[in-house]
Amino acid sequence: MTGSKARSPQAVSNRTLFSVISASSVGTLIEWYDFYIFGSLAAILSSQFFPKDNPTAALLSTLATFAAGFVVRPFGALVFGRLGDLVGRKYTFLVTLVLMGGSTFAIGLIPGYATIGFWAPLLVLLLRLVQGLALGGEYGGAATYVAEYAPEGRRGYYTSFIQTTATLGLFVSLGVILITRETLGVDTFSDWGWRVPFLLSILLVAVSIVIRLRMAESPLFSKLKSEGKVSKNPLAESFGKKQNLKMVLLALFGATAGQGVIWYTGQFYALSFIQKACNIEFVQSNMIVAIALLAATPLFVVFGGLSDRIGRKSIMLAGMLLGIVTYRPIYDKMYSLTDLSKQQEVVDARTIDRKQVKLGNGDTQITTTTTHIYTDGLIAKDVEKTATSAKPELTKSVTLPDGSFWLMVLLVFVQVVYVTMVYGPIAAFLVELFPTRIRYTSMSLPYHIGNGIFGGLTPFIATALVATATKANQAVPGSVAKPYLEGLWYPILVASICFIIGILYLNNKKYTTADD
Amino acid sequence: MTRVKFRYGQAVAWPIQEMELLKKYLGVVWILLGVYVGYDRITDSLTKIGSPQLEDRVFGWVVLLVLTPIVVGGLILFGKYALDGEYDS
Repeated sequence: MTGSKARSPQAVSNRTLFSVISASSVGTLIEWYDFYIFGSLAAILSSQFFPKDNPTAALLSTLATFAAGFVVRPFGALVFGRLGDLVGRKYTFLVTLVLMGGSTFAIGLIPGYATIGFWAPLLVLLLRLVQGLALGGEYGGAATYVAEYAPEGRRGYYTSFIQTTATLGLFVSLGVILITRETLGVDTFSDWGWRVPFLLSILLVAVSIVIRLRMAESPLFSKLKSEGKVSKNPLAESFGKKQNLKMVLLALFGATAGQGVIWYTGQFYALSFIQKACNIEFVQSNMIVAIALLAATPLFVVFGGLSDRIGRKSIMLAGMLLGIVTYRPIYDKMYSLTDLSKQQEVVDARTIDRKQVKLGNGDTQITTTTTHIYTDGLIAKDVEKTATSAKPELTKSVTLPDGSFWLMVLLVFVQVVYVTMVYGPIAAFLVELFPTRIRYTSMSLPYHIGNGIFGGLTPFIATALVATATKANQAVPGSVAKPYLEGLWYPILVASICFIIGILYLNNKKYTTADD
Repeated sequence: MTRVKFRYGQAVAWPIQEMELLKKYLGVVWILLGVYVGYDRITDSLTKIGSPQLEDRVFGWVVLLVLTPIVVGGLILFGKYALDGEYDS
């Protein structure tokens, strides 16, 4: 399909439509993959680029975590949203793809702190910022592009394929990391193997660029351009005019903020909770989340399609309500599966293993591994590392037996179902809220504030709430009944406010914009 | 005689007039919520900024300079628009 001749969406064949969806989805999936591998490999990247004993490197590390994930994404939405409304969707999201792929590949090439010193963390931070900017511009472009091809009344279904990409991107990143780690071995992976997932990105991006280059500009934008109705100043039109700004605020407080916290709780906080509060070991915890993500992914399309028939609002708000009501019982059950105080140990089966290793500085490190086996098959390992020149280090890990493993998968799966309910219809919802001439700019900002800021801060705010509750419990024992559940108040509160605003102020019918 | 109309798609079919009034007067709640969140987040983030932990300090600045202005400004403006009847159907 070539040419930029304006055509109506109704005239687009199914074959073309699925080419458009494939081109957009593959690129967006790769962008999410690129974005997530940085987070998933944070511990290794930290040891390679951000040594904790160097205060400047530590500051850059923290900035890389916060700035790129949260602050820069809305800026990317503004920069690339404006560009997309001025020059077109196709070229803008080609630029974001090149930026994302290039910066990810480059991270894989940067020598470690031990080789080039301060430049290493600085370069990583800069490239991470480029990643954040690119991500801020990508999603709005892809969603707008597909929606502007989709026939009237089917936008929910067709844009829901774009919605699968964030979850699939996380799944692919976990999969690539696990496969590389298992293939190369833990030591080689920590040494140089972690670079493989970053370097692999360039191949994926190259394929995606070739596919996207063959696509034409969106029919609605082409029509607008041929009629000379393209916005002269999308930022001023989007946020300087009350008629549009009020819809941006409604989208943020009535939908995307709640969607963002449900999304991050169901996927990232769940993983963090499994690893940190439940202490489930690395491979098993990633397997749990990966299986749940894969099993629930088709539901994005189911709920996206359903939203064309029964309305976007009812599905999104139902997802929020389910999260609000059930998060605490779900997380309580997750915790109880690994709560060793409720388990009975087979004391005779306990083993203790000691290993002695000579370190580079001449010191001797003793590693003591105590393995506890419980009656239901759960295995708990305490690994204590002691050396004369360093503080003793104790790490605990738990491996679940089959029954508990699948129950944990189910509990995460249920949360990802909520994610599919709030996230499946939201692209169509946002696209329909704004007119074509300023759509890219207007929809990108509330989406990235909702997801990047409200959602992205979920793990940090939740962890801070748990820490506060734990401290209170230490000061006055029993003052907080279940401190490990306190972190859930943040997503519950944000989703509750969003639910109330959504139910009162949003219309369940499709919003029809002036020029569509 | 007052005619009672019902809105399509409402989870609970309320009479339109009462619904519009509720949406309007709740504007005050959103403005007050914005003010409260502003007070709460500013005091909390100032505590974090004073923390010896680097991560807490950066987190405090992010909350103070990014999250708080968006939530406070956004909720107050949203409340004002609601009060002005901008979201009437």
